[in-house]
Amino acid sequence: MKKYIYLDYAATTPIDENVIKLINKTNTLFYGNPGSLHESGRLAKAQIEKSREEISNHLNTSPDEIIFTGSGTESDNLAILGIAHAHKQHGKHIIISTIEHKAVLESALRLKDEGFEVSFAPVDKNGILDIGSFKKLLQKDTILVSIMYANNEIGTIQPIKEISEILRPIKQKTGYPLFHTDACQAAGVLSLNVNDLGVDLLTINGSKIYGPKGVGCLYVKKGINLEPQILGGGQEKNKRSGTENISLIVGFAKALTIATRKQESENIRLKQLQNYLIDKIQKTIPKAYLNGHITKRLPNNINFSFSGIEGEAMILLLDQAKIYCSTGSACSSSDLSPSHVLLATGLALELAHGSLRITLGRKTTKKDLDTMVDELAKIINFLRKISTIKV
Amino acid sequence: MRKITTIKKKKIAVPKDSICGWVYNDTVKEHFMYPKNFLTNDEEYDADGVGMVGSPACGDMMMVWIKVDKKSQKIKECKWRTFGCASAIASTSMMSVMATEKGGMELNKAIYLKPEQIVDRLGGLPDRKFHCSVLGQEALKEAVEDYLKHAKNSKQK
Amino acid sequence: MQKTVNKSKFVVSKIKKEADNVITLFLSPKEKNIAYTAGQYVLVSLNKDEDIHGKFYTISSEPSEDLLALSIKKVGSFSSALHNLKINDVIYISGPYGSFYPTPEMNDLVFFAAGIGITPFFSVIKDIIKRKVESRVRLFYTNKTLRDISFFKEINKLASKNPLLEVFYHLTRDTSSHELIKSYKRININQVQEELKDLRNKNYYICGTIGFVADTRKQLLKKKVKEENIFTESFF
Repeated sequence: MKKYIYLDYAATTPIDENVIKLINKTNTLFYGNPGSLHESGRLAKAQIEKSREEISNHLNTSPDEIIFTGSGTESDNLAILGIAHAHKQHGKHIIISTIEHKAVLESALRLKDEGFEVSFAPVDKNGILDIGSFKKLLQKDTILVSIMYANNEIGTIQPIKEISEILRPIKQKTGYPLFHTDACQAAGVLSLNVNDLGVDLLTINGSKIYGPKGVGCLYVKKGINLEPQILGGGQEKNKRSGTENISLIVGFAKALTIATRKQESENIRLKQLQNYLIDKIQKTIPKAYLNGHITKRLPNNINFSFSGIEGEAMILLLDQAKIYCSTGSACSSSDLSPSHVLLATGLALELAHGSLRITLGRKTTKKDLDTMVDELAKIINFLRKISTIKV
Repeated sequence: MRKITTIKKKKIAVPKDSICGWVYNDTVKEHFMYPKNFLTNDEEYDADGVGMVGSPACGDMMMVWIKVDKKSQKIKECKWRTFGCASAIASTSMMSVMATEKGGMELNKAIYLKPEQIVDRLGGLPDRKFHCSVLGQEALKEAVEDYLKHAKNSKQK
Repeated sequence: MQKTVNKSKFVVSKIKKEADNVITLFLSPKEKNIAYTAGQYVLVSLNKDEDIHGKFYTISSEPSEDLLALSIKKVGSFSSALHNLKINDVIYISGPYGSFYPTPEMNDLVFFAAGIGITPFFSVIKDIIKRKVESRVRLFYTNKTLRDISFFKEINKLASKNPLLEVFYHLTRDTSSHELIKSYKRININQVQEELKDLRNKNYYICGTIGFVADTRKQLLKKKVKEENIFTESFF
């Protein structure tokens, strides 16, 4: 049986074996409702609090500043909508970047429908925030800024600390704007120390760090009001109701601990593979263009545009060869629009349609990448042979 | 592709595609992976009519070259090139087969070929890919109209 | 359709509400006008940049009318933006495109419209009547409720003045009785056959969603209507 080569780690990661074992064990031993007063409930609750503390240590914050949610998307929604609604008497202006994850983008657009003013801070051709333009967008009534730490499509790492330094003098006077960052792709790669970063809110989730899907958390600095988005029994200090999924929370914390422990060595290993792959693609396939910044990017992210090629066709032919990647083409998306991230960098539509995102992970080997490039070259040759665009 | 799962020491072979199925049906897959009638070298091809639809910016672009049998006024050959997704490639490939099979399509039938006819022959396309078959049909129509325009002009001369 | 798109500037002169979520934008040209045949459609863009393509909408006016009319149903972000346009706002039009119009020798026409799929037929019917073309037209028009029927008054007026035009309304989600409503379920080919008596020697035009068009065509083919007598336009 031919082995498959999974190169879509930015979409999701396989769950670490030790995390699976822990989730199963937790499900068996701690099935009680953490809200119950009896011992079964208290034992379950203790598991959650242990995990909360574990995660807060990685963020260099205190446990009561962590709210567990059902996903990174839910955390983003809670941050954007929760802050805007809770602080609207102080202002109605929000700033997000043009390359935010759709969870942040759609939440901001919902606020726009509700009468908030939303500004989009542009990025340069490498996907780095244009600091000059960003500064100009700040207004007296700006209450929230949300800029993602590392981008899921092109891997660009934003200068979060620099942005928080820009906001600091303004915040000292009025307490605003609050600063949120979606750090789902940064977890396990970059430092999540919220004090160093200077953020007031931060999102991470389990599915990108070899943890389980269906769990995430939102860091909210103490003292900041937040309007809950899911109402009910008042769990998570009234910030997010619903019976907690103990085993996923425990698995999430464990996954983050393992990822942090492996962070340095993995970063080095992945960076080497990344350089190797970028070089090999550029040498093997003509008219291939790297998207994103060459150095300020996640070490596992490679995103290329190939002239004359459409992404869905490329992905499906790779899939037939048991190689799993993704694309930013319009035809591959459910709403038939090309990647807003690629377009925000000023990439021509034709090249956005011909983009390929390859993201590496723990199981990726050099041999995998050799096989991948060989297949990719054949596929691109074939598609260029039948394409109307002469390359 | 068979995946072997061991459950209680009993080996069960589980064909993967029967669980999750591919993105498209077998006919679409066939025309996508082994497209028929595409034109490798258009510079040397002496076409009677050429049609072009879409654009690289749109993510869908098709070019069609036809040769017409002057006596029977039927399409003798239909070649094409496509920049687009699997559905777009399969649609143009199937359209080219429909245009040339059974001695070739009559020109007026080719002008009125409906995208639904292409979709039927492909065994179905998801609704959001329907526009690919529309483009395929429009490209053919343009090629036929191009031929008719030239035929008319050369008659007038 | 061409590789680059030549856009003509138009302004919104008048806006009319036709039905729930459907408005007509009446446009007047600022530069070149568009010469079209009834039943054709245009490419609409809010951006004059040639590379930025918009969406296609069928023209609901007939060629001799002063203003170019586009009747638009609000379904997504682009159509919502069109619904938010005000008088004197600028819009860019390219085209026209399409061949969804009957040719002169077709004298017995059957139109199937679902929802906003009525737009090309509204244009064609007005054109046929204006030019005094002696074609019989039977229109089967399906909607969910009474409030969804676009051009209800206008179509009824045209039918009352023109004996060659007959309209059969079908509602699928409404039982509010109205004397003009033919039936309270989806168009069914047996019903149509009862009305037409003989399905041969007619030309059938179908316009609506992909599903409606595919389904109606299949029903006609099952009844041995020839492929060359069926014309389709799917809205997507």
